[in-house]
Amino acid sequence: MTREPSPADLAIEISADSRWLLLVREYVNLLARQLDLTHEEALQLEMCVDEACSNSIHAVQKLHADPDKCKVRLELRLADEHIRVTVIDCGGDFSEHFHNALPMTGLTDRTRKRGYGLQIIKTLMDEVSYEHDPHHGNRLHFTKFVRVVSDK
Amino acid sequence: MWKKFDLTTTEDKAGELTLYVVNVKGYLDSSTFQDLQDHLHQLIDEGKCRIVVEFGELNYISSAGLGVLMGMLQEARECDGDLKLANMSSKVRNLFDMLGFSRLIHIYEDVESAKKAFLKDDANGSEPTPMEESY
Repeated sequence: MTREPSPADLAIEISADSRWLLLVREYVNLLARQLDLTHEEALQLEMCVDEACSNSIHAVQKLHADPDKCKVRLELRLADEHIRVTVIDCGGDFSEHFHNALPMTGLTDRTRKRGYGLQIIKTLMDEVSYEHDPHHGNRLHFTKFVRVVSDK
Repeated sequence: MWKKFDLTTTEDKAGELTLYVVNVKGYLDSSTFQDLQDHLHQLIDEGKCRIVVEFGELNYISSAGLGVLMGMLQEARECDGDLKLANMSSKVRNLFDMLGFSRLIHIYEDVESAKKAFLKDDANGSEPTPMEESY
C-alpha cells in the first residue's frame, strides 16, 4: 500500500522557464534565514533546489512544445531536524540519468561541460529518491538533515 | 524582468603578456551560462587564450556555470593559455570548495595575483599544471 505524502508546509509553482530560478533561490534563502540554518546548510539547500528545478525545467522543455502548460512545483516539508524537498514536473522520464549520477567523491569526473546537477544533489543531500509516472511525470525527493537550533 | 547577469572584458598586461580580464556580474545559472560560454568561446577563437575571470560581483554559480568553466579551461589550455579565476566572494568560493572544483582550477585572491601567476607560468616556460595534478 502506498502511503499518502503529508501535505507540504510550503509550495510554489513556476513556469518551465529558467529565468525563474533566481526567484526560487531567493525563496529558499529567505526560508533558510527564517529556520536559522548555518551558511553551509543554506548554501547546500539553495544549490540543490536550483539544480533540481533546473533539471525539471529542462525535462519539461524537452517533452512539451508549449512548456507554459506544465508547471514545475517545489514543495517543502519542514521538521525539527530535517527539510524534505520535492520537485514535481510533467517532463520526460530521467530515471536512467538519475541512476547513473553518482555522488562526487573523486576528482576524475569533473571535466564534463554539463550534467552535474543530480550528482551535486546526491553529494550534498542526505537522502535522494526519484519516481516517474508516465501519466503524472517526475518527482524528485531529497532530504537535508539540519542541526537543531539548540545545537548552534 | 530584472537584470541578473552582465559581462565585460578588458585587455590587460602582465609584463609582455597580453591578458583578457572577463568581469562577471550577477548570477551564473542555467539561464545565463550560455552568455559566458559564447563570450569565452569567442575570445579563445580569436586566440585570446590567457584569460582571468573576475568574480568579484558574482553572487551565485550553478553546475551549468561550473561546467562552462571546466570546458573553457580545457580549450584555453589547448591553445597554450589558461583560465584563472580571481576575486571570488566567500559564497561562490564555498560552492567551489564544497564540490571539489577548487582543486581543479586555479583560483586567486585578486586579478593582480592571477596576472603574476601568468608571468610565472611564462617565466618557467611551462604549461599550466594539468587539471588532475593542480591540487
